[in-house]
Amino acid sequence: MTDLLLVKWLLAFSPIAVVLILMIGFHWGGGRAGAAGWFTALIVAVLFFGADATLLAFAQMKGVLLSLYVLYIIWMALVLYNVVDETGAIEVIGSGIKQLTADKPFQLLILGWVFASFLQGVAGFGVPIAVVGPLLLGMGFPPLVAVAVPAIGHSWSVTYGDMASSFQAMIAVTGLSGEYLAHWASVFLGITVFMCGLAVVHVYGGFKAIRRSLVAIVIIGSVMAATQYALATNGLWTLAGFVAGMVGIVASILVSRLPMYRNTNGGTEEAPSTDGPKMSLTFALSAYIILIAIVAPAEIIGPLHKFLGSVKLSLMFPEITTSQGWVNAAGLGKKISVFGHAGALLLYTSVLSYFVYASRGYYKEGALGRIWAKTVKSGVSTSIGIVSMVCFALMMSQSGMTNLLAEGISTVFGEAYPLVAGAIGTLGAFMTGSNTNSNVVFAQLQMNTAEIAALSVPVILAAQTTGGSIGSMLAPAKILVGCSTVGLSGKEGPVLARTLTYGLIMTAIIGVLAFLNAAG
Amino acid sequence: MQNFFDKHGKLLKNGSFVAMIGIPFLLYFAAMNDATALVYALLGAMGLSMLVAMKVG
Repeated sequence: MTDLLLVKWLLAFSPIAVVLILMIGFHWGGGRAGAAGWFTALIVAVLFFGADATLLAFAQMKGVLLSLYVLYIIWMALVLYNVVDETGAIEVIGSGIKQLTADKPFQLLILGWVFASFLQGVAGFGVPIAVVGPLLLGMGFPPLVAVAVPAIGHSWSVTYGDMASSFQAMIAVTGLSGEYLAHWASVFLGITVFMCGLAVVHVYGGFKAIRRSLVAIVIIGSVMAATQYALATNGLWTLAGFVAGMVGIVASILVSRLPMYRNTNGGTEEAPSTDGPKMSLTFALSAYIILIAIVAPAEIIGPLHKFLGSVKLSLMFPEITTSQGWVNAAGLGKKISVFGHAGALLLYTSVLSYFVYASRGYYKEGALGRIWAKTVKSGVSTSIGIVSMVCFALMMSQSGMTNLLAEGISTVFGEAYPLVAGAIGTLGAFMTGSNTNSNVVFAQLQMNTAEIAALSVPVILAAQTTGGSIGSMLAPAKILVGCSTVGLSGKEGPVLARTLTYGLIMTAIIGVLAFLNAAG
Repeated sequence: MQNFFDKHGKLLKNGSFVAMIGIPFLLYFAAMNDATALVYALLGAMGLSMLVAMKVG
């Protein structure tokens, strides 16, 4: 690269660098850092990449369409989680699971690996750590283990969790089909399932605990990885994380019957609940059974899928070119299916679930108001982060900055590029606190780089999103949430150090797998 | 100034989110109709909402 190109490459990288420095060095949240990245991208795009006001205007609109596509899922997932949580059902599910066995490493696997992944499947945004951390602490695990275990344990399910919002974001940003991307993403994430299980017990008891739990990890991990693969590669990626977690819970119950893990407490389905009526574990799970009953037919039955997808919103964009000759072709922006989108399916589930729980009197007075308040409280901060980051990512791609970054990386790394593809995804999640944001910021860059270097695009993007998934165990934002729930506020460093070791090993393994499979 | 942000932080945060979502629609229609001055004004408004997000987001 010539000096001038190097300077321009550094300028193109500057918005990402600003976000990294502010989030890691100054502990800013995603919303604040994303806004700073937006300003940096705007200035660099105008001064050094020839973007004019019209290009910037279209980039904002494309960014908002993309954001709305992802936010529709995120907000409705939050509504569903709060509809369930308000009844005390999440507590009932957690208590029911922890009574299955007295074996400590197996308890960690069930709660920190399987249940946390199930929670990621239905909610995400730090909920697995926030819910499981206090449960583990209450069972007598040290605070550091109580936070680190769910942080590590749930990370494999982040890409397909929360109605696959991270995977959907990758589809939206790259413009590639989910069917094309699902195979390799599911293979890499499937391998990550086992790595997370091994790491969870290693955190607690080292290799001795791994030897004791190996049978459980192999059986439950195989069931979860196979379920995730089967659903994702058959077009049901929105259900892949959540159903894999649910099937993992069933597998855990069966494995707990094995003599080596058998319960000495005497498991029961009933669990202590709040002041209201007692709830069975089966009834507590009813919202998620309804979710499957709604999503599966909506995705599988062709005429129904077509009918629900009949109303789509989008906008047409004309061709626009920067003064330096970078051309953005004319075309439609991201299409949003109003009634068939994953967010709409979550909304139907939330409404039905509310009436099911209400029919048994599980809601106290003012429940709807509390559900709404909790949803807004969690949703606005996340949404500001997503909108600002998506808009700056769009400014970068529309002004040719992303392409220049890809060309530079491809030139420097050449055929060894797949080795760092996973690390880029991990870095993105670490800096933004989210696999979704990592995919939004880096997926297009990874795709362009793979194309330039004649490497397999789905393999590189699988490494990107798997790295992003793993990176969520390192995200300071999530560690902060976990530490605050177990009384470790201000002591996040040791937890991060612990998760960092496992995260880096897993990322390196994914890099090697990508390297072995990416030759175009 | 800090008191103002402390007192109205929640409102400003929600407001900046609504602005971030709403302003690009106006930007799109201004750009499609070649209303350059309006595009500049709206980009300024978008920048303002990002500034607020940087402060309270």
